[in-house]
Amino acid sequence: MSAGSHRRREKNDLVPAVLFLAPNFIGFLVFTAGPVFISLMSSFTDRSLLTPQWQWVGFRNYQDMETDSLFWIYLVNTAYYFIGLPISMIGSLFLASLLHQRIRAGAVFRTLLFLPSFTAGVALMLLWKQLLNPDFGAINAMLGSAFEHLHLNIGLPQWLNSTHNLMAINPERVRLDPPQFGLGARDGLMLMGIWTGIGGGNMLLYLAALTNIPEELSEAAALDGAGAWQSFRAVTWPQLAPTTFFIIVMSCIGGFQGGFDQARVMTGGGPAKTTVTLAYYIYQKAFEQFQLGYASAVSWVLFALVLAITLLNWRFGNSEDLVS
Amino acid sequence: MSIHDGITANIGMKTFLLITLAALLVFTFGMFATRPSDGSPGKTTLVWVTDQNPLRTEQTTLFARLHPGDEVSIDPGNGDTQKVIVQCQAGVGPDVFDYWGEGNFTAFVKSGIAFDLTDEFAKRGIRPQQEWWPLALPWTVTPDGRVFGVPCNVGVDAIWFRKDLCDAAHVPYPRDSWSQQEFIDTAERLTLKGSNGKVVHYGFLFDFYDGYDEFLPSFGGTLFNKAGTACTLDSPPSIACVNFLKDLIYKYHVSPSPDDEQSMTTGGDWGGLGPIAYFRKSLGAMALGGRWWLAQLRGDIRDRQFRLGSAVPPVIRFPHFSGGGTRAIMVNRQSKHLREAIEFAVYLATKDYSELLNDQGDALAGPSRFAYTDRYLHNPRDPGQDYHEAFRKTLEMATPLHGSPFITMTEVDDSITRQFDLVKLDQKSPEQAMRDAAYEINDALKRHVRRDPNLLKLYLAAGGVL
Repeated sequence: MSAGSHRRREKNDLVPAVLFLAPNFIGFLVFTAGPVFISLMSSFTDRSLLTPQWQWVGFRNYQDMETDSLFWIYLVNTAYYFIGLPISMIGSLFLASLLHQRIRAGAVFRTLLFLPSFTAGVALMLLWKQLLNPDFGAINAMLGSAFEHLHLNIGLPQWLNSTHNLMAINPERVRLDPPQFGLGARDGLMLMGIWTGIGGGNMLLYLAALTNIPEELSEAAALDGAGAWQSFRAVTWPQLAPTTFFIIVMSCIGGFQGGFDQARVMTGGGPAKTTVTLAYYIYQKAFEQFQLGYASAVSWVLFALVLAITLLNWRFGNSEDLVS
Repeated sequence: MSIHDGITANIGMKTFLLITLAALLVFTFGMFATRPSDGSPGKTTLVWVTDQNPLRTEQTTLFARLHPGDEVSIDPGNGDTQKVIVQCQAGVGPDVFDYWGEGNFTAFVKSGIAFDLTDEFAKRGIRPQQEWWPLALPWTVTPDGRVFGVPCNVGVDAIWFRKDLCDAAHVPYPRDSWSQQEFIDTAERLTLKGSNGKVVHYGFLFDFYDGYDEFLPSFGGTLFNKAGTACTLDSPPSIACVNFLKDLIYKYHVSPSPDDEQSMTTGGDWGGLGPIAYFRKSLGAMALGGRWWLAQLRGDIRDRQFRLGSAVPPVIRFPHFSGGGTRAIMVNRQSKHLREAIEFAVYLATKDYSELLNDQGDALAGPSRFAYTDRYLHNPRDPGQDYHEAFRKTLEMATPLHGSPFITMTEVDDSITRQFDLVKLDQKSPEQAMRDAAYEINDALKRHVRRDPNLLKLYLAAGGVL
């Protein structure tokens, strides 16, 4: 085919291509780019859902956040769930390593472990509400039995009924409060998040990454006398670095944006608002208190946080490996 | 070669695109032609955004019977305030919509989506200020007398009690004029423990927030000062009210704590199932609840031989209660069926609707006169029952708890709920909790005022101090 006819063919294909792309592109402009731009503008206004009138307030919404104690408390609530991230990642890697072995019915195990990821979220939450019941739930039944066998005189956690938490954070102020140490609603939701996350997409990503590691590397390490742990530390783990980096970045993004569904369905944000996250706070400000301007500002601060964490990850993580 | 490549290679990209577009158009028209009808042919169908209460069917059927050219379709999925406002402002809102609370009333009026019914009602001789329960007025009529809402029902919580459980415990039935101490004594005697020490049923079930709403005026408290410029949750009556409620749980042990509530249900969620569910499960002998509970309790009377009574709550210092309010409707100013929507609003103020609603027991009808009839006291749907009078008497004592024009009630509720959670969990004293709530609310209120020059003017004119 000559260059001229190739160019003609390309030109002929352009119109249908644009036509095919147009619906999606218009949709993106109207439903994604447009609202993003409007929310940025709104964050510099006093827009309310109640009246069409608004005025520019400059950076006042952002300045108000500094003295808004709720914003800081909910930011801490949001950050709290990151405690679960390393546990979830280690769990995913562990499961992926198990599935990577040549075992019978591997596909069945993969499907079973992936089950929480494609089960309806609300159904899972209702299930976990039952599991976390302090009196009838399976988790406390197991804990109670374990404590009894170990002769430990420890009270069972009240889970969704309690403001206690592993970091002993005061429910009303951003400060430590030793009597608050324990397991409470935040930990219950985090536990559910870990359970859902371990067998989900992260496990599949690790499994794919493990499959891609050339077997020669492990064999060479074995020939050099490396044990299983040494082989994992020196060969497998570095090879998994890009995947780990990707999972950390995506989990951070998801973590900052998450927590809304769980709090809405399982706790209503309680007790004492300890399960309200920034995503929930944005919803409350915009759609319950109608302060669209302020809610937009919080959204953009959340975006800035996510961006900052991603850049930090990029700077100190294995970005070169990821790119390669 | 993929299927797509195969197709485009044979018929060309343009032809493929045209066929695809044609198919999409055919599907679109097909769907449009076969979509469900908006209503019966020849009839105007009004869309009413309300809850999915089965009692609504009877209410809309009666309207359709009285207005043969109209019918009402219930839309239960679009009741959120922001949805109503956005849809109405965009011209695709419902014809009439429900709302709840003074805060929402103010929000809807302020947003300009509500039709002003004042003249229409005046033409028909309906005088809300004279005819409706006083409790309904702040939620339907603006301070300058403009009518924007019509009450669907009005109610204040009273005390439901189980006569059969009282008889079993040899406790006399609660009377309408009992004292606070008599109430506590009765609740203590009605709290029954099993041989294992676990509570079989509590003396009194209540939702903490509703309890505060109910008893605060009786203690002499308010949420804000008269001008709405300062939150008064930290006033002695308010603190005394919270102390009273907390004592019911932790001092007298007649009501379940949050931990106890966990033992009463297999679900583990914060907040539990609520008093009505526990009352129906026979986990309480008395409960603070509305007349609307009848919609569920009638089944228990029939199927489980519940014998029920009701009483006016104990007066603490003043004969005023406030736990309840008005569910009202507004007419969308941009409704395509404005005339019919107004007729529906008028219907809610008529004898036909009021008597139906009072019979149903869905709280009480907006016009008060229909509660002073033999039919109300001896409801044809509850032969032999005597529990209707207490709800009317309590409503006579009702007084609204006013919010503030300088802060939304959702923001106020948010602070109160957080502090109540800590009180309920016995982690904070009522004094400290209410002081913190008041501080937080006043702080937010002043922040709003400082941001808005118009609000600031109003605030200063009302005597507010920054």
